Amino acid sequence: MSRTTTLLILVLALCTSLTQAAENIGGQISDAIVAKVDPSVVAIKHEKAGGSGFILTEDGYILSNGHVVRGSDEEDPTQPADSITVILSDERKFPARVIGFSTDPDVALLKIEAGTPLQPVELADSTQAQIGQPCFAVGTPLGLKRTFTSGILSSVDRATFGTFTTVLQTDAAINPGNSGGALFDQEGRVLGVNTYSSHGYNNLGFTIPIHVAMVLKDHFLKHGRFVRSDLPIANLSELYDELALAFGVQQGVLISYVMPGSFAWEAGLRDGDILAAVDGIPVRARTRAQLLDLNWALTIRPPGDPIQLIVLRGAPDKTKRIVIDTHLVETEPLPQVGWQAGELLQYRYECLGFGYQQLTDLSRLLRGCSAAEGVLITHIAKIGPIKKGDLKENDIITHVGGVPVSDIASFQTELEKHLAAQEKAVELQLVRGRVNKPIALAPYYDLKGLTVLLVSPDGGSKHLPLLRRELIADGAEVRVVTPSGGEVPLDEGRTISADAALDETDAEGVDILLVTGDSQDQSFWKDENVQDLAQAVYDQDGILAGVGSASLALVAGNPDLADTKMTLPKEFSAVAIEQGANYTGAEVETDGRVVTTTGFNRKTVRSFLKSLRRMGRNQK
Amino acid sequence: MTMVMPSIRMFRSLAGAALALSVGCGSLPQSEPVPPGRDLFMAMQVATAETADSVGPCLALVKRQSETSKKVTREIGGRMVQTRSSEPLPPINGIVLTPQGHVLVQKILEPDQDDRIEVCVGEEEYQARVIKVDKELGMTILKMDSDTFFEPIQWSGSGEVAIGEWVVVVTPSDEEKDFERFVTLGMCRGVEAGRYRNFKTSGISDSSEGAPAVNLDGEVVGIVKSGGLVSIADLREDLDLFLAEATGVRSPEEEERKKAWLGVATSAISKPYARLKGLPASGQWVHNVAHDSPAEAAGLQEGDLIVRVNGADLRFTGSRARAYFNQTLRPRKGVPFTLTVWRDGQEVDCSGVYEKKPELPELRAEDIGVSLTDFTAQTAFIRNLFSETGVLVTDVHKGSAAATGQQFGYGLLLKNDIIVELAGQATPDIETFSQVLDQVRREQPPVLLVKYIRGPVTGYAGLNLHIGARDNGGRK
Repeated sequence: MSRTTTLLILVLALCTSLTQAAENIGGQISDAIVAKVDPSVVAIKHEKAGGSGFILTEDGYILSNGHVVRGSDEEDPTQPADSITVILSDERKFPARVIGFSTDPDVALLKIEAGTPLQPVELADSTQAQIGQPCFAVGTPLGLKRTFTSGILSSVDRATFGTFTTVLQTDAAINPGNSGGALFDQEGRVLGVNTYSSHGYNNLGFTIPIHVAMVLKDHFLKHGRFVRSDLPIANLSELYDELALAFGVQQGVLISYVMPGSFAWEAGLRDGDILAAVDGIPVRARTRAQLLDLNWALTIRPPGDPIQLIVLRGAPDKTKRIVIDTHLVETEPLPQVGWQAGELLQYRYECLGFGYQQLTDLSRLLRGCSAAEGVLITHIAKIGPIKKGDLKENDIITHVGGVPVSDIASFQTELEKHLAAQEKAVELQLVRGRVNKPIALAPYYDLKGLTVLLVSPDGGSKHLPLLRRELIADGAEVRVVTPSGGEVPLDEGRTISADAALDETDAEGVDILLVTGDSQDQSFWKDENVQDLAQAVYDQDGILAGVGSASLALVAGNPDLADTKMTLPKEFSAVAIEQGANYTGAEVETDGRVVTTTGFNRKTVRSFLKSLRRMGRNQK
Repeated sequence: MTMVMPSIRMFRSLAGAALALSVGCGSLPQSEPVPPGRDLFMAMQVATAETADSVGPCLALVKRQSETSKKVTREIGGRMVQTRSSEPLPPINGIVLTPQGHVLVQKILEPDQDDRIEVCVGEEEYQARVIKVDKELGMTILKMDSDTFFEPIQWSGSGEVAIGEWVVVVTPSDEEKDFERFVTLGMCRGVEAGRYRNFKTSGISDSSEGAPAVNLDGEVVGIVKSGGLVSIADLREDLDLFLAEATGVRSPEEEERKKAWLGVATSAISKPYARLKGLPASGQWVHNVAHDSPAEAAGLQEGDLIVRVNGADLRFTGSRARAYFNQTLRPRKGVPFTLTVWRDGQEVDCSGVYEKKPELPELRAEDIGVSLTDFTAQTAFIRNLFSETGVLVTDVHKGSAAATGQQFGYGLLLKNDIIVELAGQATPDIETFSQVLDQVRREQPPVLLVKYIRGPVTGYAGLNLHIGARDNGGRK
């Protein structure tokens, strides 16, 4: 090899190694940055799953995703998981409380009491994020704590993912478990909350920009939930070039649909209007990203905010300019759609085999329901007294026993009348698409012939509505008793009058004594009336049932039940043991003719009801 | 308990010998005593072989030379990819119905005139084509192209099968299996109720679907379908009608055009509700009567409960009631009907004649990229459409202006959209739509505004008519 060639090769080798060195520096995260961010990223775990989060403030506010902290109660999607633990980067563990969460945008705010100041993150300005800028994610993918992955920002306004806002897209590895963790820029400042990744494909991770998450954080602190503003129901669409040309306008936002009779309709908006300006400022949504940004700007304004819209209406050659002065209103609770888990409660009659929900305007639109008034069927159990095909999801029940029902409260009231009378079949009228037809429901009434004395504190209790309605639907005669004998609150704003006051009640004819109190309630422990009732019902071979701390009243003072296994909420276990009760700590405990439960959540109470039903049927 | 015997000829000679042995007419030395019961068993085997012979010539093996496309997951370049792989269609068992060569199969065959169908009867093969399809029966009649006279199956017996009775199923074969017939011996274990009863039989395999079943007296009792035997006794009348229509028919497309209708939208009554009100539990509620339909002419009204068809009570409940009702109706042009309905507490007879269902105009708008059709008020009712007028999109052509939307994978227009306005003008029906479209073609605007209804909401699409044009970039 000649000297020139050797020299050339050496120079080339040097250049190559220099370039490589430069690439290494670019891809590395320096020790200083790691030390800055590592202590701020936490792991979050609850009874079903978990993910990651990061510390916002010294006193322990933590940001994560909504889907990381949400519970698994199918009937109440607004409930977070029941026991959430936050594990800091130094392995210290603390129980966490959820201040608020939303599933779209997927953000949650938690609080821990660490006792010592924590290291919060520094926030970046995510509105200035640039495509191609290096970034790195920190989280707990697949349970591997404190994992750092790096990449670039692949997109800064991804609008086609189906989320409420635009999201950042990154090729830093985001895996299950990274959810809720932070995406940092090169200086270790938070760009966003890592939320989704595409499974089965490579390097497509999506992050909610931190400026969006901060808005939600403020809402959670102030209201406990995300309060959205809207002009319901007006659908906005992007006015892409062809549409703009076809409508004969330069730019704007298309109002593609306005629900007749809705607030937006009454304000004067119509299908086909072009929104040209909001509060004097011209608006445009040529792309979906621009549309989502505009929609976001409207959503985060406070409900009641006055707003002025300028719309263009009419054929291209005779366009009229219309000024509309109106205000924003709060959106109805959202039904389940897309990434949104829903904010509507679903009520279920497990023994009847169906679940139902309030029918909102948006539900109607999404499910293509008619304009009928009634309750929306959202769940049909696979087994139950409903004959196959009689009732289906998306049906609207408009009448019960010939009486029109327009909401949950009236539906439940009417239905209960027929169930309490143990009618062989209850007539229902339903609307399915355009079809209007009558059906009948023939409940099993497994507990027919049994009388249940349902004892509750004066202010009602968390599980009282559920217990009462399931027992009535099961055919039991239910008598509600409270200390004062006055009004008792149920759900959906209903109240009923107690059948009697506690001190005027005796155990005659009672087959099941069910005492219910919230976990914090201690009013029944030492109530002599309750203890006497419990003794009397037990002596006449009845069943004793307890939910929550009230369970203690059943066994206390009765020497026959000294060894009976029972359970109640964990925080009262010491008291129970002190009183000599045989506390087991199970969620539901049955022993002979005594069934008790901690009343931890709806699932536990339903499990308790199953045991109670079994015992009741054996009793008959 | 299945006994599949590979060669009937061979076996028959054996059975014959065995029978001779057991009868022992004094002509053979009784060197070996026959175990008790063995002679009965032998007799049954002979009967089996003989019945098999009786229907043998009436069997047809239908082979289609089309290829199925099967999705197969293969590894290509390190990733799992789904591709399509071709396999020839499996042969179907058929029964010869007429001397002219009509063959009945227990499948709905799409009458694709490009498919080649070969039927093997005995040792000969013939070309055949699909003549008529009956969707309610789930059967197809083919006709073989040949001047030969074929032996049709005889099903003149009572066609009843008792539980515990033995039947013989005979399936055809072709030169791959050397033209031997296959015999299966099965026992009727039970009866499944329905418009056409199904005798559940042991020993029936999926491969014998469509083959005839014969009782030990040699009478055809059923056809193998759905793991059992469909009763010939129940099928006979409808099969005769099916065949009568088929023999007069030239092509299945023609048949489709002559479809008759009744014109009601119905649903089964809720059984507990029927019990509560003392109404027949098999009734069908009438939810909608189509305008200008045989049902309207017969006087049927919304809210009626249909309880009887042509004097015969409707049967079953729920979804089976609906199937029974549809199978009983069988609209045929010019055929009279009487529906008995329950109205205002009494029974009312509604009589009429089935008519041909009116065809709705269709349009294929290539430049926009959609196929459209008019729709009736009854269609709007059944499909819960949120507009009574407009044109219904039945297809969006790939690569066209309508198919190219803002988001990848979504078109500007979708199937089942109802177009209500084109270029700012109302399009309540196909005729008006065509007129507006012609105007658009003359004016050649750069974009076309379409207003449509999708589900309950309205939407707008701006179609760029340069997209989807034949020579916009592709090779000339």
